[in-house]
Amino acid sequence: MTQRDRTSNASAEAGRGTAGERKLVLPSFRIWNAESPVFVIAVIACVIILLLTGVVVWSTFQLWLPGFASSFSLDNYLAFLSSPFTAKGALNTVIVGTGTVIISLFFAVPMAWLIQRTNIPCKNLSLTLLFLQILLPGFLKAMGWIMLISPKIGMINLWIRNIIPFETGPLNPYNIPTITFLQGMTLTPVTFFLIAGAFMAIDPSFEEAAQVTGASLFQRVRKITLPLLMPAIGAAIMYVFVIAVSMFEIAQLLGTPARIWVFSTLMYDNLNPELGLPRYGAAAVYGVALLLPTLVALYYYQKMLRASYRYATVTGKGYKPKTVDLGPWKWLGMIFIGVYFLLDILIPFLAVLWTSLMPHIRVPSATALASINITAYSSAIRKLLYGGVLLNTMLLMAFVAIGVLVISMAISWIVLRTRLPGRYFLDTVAMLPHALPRISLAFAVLFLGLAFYRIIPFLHGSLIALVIVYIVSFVSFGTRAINGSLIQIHPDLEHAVQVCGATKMVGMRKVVVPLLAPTLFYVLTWTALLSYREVTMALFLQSPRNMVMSTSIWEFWMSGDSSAAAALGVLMVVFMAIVMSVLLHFNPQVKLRGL
Amino acid sequence: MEVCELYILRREVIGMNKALLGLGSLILLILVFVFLPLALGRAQPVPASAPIRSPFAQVIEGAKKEGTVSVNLASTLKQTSIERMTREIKAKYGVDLSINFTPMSVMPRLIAQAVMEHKAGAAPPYDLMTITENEMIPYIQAGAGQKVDWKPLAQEAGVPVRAIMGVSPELEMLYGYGLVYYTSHIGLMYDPKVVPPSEVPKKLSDLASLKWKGILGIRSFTTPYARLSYFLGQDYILNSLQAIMKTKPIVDTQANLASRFRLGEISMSYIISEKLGDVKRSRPAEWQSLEVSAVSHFYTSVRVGAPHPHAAKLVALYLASPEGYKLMAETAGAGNMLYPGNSEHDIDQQDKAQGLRLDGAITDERLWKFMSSNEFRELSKKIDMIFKGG
Repeated sequence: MTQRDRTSNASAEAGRGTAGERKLVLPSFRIWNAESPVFVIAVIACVIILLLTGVVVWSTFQLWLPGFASSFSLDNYLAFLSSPFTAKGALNTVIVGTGTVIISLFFAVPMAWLIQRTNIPCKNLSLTLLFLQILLPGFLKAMGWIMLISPKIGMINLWIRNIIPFETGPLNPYNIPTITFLQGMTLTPVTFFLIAGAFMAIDPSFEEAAQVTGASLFQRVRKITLPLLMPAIGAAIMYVFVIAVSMFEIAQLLGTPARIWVFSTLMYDNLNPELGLPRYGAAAVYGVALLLPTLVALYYYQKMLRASYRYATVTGKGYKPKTVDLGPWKWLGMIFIGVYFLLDILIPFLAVLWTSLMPHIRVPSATALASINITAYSSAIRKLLYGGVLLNTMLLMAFVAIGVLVISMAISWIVLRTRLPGRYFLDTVAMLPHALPRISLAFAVLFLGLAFYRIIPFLHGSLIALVIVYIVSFVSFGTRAINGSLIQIHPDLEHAVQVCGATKMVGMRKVVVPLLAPTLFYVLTWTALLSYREVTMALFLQSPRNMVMSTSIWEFWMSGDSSAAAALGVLMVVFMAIVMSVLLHFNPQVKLRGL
Repeated sequence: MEVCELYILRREVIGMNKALLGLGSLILLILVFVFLPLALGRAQPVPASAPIRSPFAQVIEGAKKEGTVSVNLASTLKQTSIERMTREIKAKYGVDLSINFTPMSVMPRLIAQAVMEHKAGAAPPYDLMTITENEMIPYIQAGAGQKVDWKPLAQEAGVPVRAIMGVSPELEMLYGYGLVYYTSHIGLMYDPKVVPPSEVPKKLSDLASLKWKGILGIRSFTTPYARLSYFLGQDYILNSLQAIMKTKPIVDTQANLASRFRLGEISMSYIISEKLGDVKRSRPAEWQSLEVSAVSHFYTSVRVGAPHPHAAKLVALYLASPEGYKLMAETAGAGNMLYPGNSEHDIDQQDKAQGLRLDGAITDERLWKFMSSNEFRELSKKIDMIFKGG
C-alpha cells in the first residue's frame, strides 16, 4: 500500500471512526427525511428494471409469441446451444467486442486527457464534434465506408488501382478488423464521455507531487493518472464491450457479405423471419448469454467501488483543477485528435452530405456532380413536420435525459454514499438492461402495456412507453459515468457541510453536484443524443402517437430513399451543432473546468 | 337497432307454427304499439319507404361520420402521397378524411403486435394495415383481421374482383381478409450494360456460374427459395443454392442489396421487383424471373376492433381502385400486376410470354398448405444454414 493509499484510507477510516462522525453518516431513523426521495426514486427505478428484465428472461422460456401464443419450453436454449453458428458467432462476437473496446480506448483515453487536462486548443470544437458523431446514422456511415474501400467500387481502391494495377481491392472492408476498427471509432465518444468527467476530477496535486520527485510526463500519466481512473476505465470497458457486441449496422453491412456472423446479426434472423411471427424468446436468449459475462465483469467492477476511498482525489485539501501545459507537443495532440475526427466524423459526414444531395445513393464522381439537388431536404422537412415527429423527438430527448440523470444520480449516490444493505444490488440492477437486447426490452414494455391495458390503457403505443424503455436502457450509462466521477469526490467534503449543520441533501446539492457538473452535463447531453438516435426500440413500439426522427430516418433508408435519410441526418447534425455550441459556450459550470 | 330487432322478430314470427301465430302477433302488436315508442324515446321513426342503402353507400356514410383513419401502409408512400390520397378520396367519394399514416416497418413484428393487441383486447393503433401471404397466417388464425364482404363493395368502387383475397374457390376461407394494393415479383434484377440480356440467367442454378462471381447479390430471406421448391423440388433448390454460395455472392437484405446495386457494387441481384422502378432512376436495370413467376401480394386488412372501420374500408377500396393504383405507381414506385401500364404488369406479361408457371399462393390451396407446414419451416432452416455457410 502506498503512502497515498494509507493517507486516503486513514482519512476514510477516520470518516467513519469516531462516534461523533458516525452520527453524521448514519441514516436518520425518521421514516421520511431529506434523503427519502433519493431512495424512492432509486427503488422505483429498480423495480421497473427488474420487472422488464424478468419479462425478458421469462420470454426465453416461451416458444413463439410469449404470453399470447406460447407455452413453456426450453427449445430456445436448445436451439441456441445446438446451432452450428453459436460457437462461431460467439468467437467472432468476443473478437469484435474486445477489438472494439481496445480501439475505442486507444482513441478515447488520450483524447480525454488532452481535452480535459491539457492546454490543447479548440476544446469546444472537439467536444461538439464528439457529441455530433452519434447523430450520423450508422448504416449511412457504413455505406460511406463501402463507397471508399469496397474492393470493386471503392474510391480509394480506384485511386490505388490507377497507380498499382490490382484486379480488385486492394482494400477490403468485409473482414473482422474493419468491422472492429469502425465500431471502435464509432464507440470512442461513448468511452470518452464515460471517462472524461473522471479525468477532470483528478486532483492535479498528485501529479505535481510526482513531478517534483522527477517523474516524467509519461510516468506521471502511467503511475498516477491512469491508476486513479481505473473505476471509470473499468466501467467504460464493461459498458462499451456490451454495446460493441450488440451493434448491428456495421456488422450487417460489412460482415454478412463475408459470412462473418456475430450475435447481433444472428439475432436479427430471429426477429425478422419472413414467415410467421418473430421469435422474441429466441432473440432474448442471446441477451441472457451476454448477461453472464456482464455480471462477472460487474463483480470485479463493484470490488473497485467497494474500495472507493482509494480513488477519492477531490478532497478538502485545496483541490483545484489545473491544465497541463504541453508546449509545442500540443500540436501533436491536435494531429491525433484530428486524425480521429477525419476518419470517424469528417469522412462519414461528407459521405452522408453527398448522399443527401444526390437523387439516389451514388459513388462520388465528376458526372454525379451534375445531379446535385436539395429535393431530399424538402422530403426530410416534410417528414419532420408531420405527425408531431419533431415535437415527439424533442420531448423524448428531454424526458429521457432528465430521467436518466435523476435516477442514475440517485442510484450512484446510494451505492457510493450510503451503507444501505444491498446497495450494490441496486448497481447490479442498473447494469442489467445494458446486457439485454434493446428489442427484448421493448418487447417487455409492449407486453406489460398490453397485459395491464385495462388498468393503464394510455401506456400502449404512447410516448411514455418509449420514455420508460429508453430510461431503463440508458440508466446503465448514467450510473457508470456518475460512479466514475463520484468515486473521486471524497466524502469529507460533504461531511464538512454536515458539520456545519446542513443535511446530506444540502451537501449533495451544494458540494457534490457542482463538482460533478461536467459529468452530469455529459450524461444529460449524451443521453439526449442517444434518445434521438435509438431506432430499434422506437420502431418496435411505434404507433401513430409516438413517431420520432430516428424511425423516420430508418424508414427512408428501408424504402430506398437514402437521400432523404441522409438529409434528415445532416439536418439533425447541423441543428445539434448549433445547440451544442451554444450550450458549451454559455455553460459556466462546464467552462469553469476548462472545457 | 330497434328496426333490426323488429325485423328479426318478424322473421321469427313468420317461422312460427300456426298455433303460436296468434300469440306471436299479439306480442308483436304490444311491442310495436306499446313498448317500442317508449324505447325509441325522442328518436324519429324510420319511414317504411326509406330506400335501403347499398353497402358501399353505408361505407361512405360511415367514413364521413368517422372523419379520420389510422393506416399502416407501404413505407415507400411519402407525405405527398397521403396528401394526394386525401384529395382524391374527397373528390371521388365526397369524404373529407384525415389520414394518419404510419409507414410499414418490419411486417412480422407488426403482425405479432396485432396478434398481441387483439388477444389483450386493446384498441388497435391502426384501423388498416398491410399483410402478405408470408406473414398473414398467424394474423388470420388469431382473428385480428376483419372479414369484410368485399365483393359488393369492390363492384361499386370499380375494384377488380381479382384484388380480393380468397376469391378463388379453393381458398375461400381467406375471403374477406384483404384487398391487393400492390404486388411485387421475386426474381433477378440486372444491369443490361454489365449482363447482356442474351446471357442473363433464366434458372436459379444458372446463378452458380463463375461468370457472375463478384457481381451477384442475393436476398438473405429464405421464404422465396422455399416457395420455389414447391415447383422445382427441394433437392434442386438446395443444390442450386449450395452451388451459388460457392461463388461468394453478397447475401443481404433487400434495402441493402438495392443500395449496393445503385452504387455499382453488384450488377445482378435476386430481389423483389418493388425496388426496380426506383433503381432504374439511377442505373440501368432490367428484370428476369427465374423459372417461376413468383409474386407477393400486399393486401390492406381492416383490423378487428378498428375505431374507424368504415374509413378503413374506404381507404382500402381507394387503394385497390385504378386511382389508388396510379397513386402507388406514381408516388411510391409500387406497381400492381392487376393493372396495365406498370412494371409489375410488364413483368407478369414477360413471364407469361416466357411460359413461366405462376406462383399463386392465394389461388393454389396446395401451395398455401405447403407454406403453412412444418416441412416448409424445416426447408427454410436448411436454406438459412446454406446462406450462413453451415
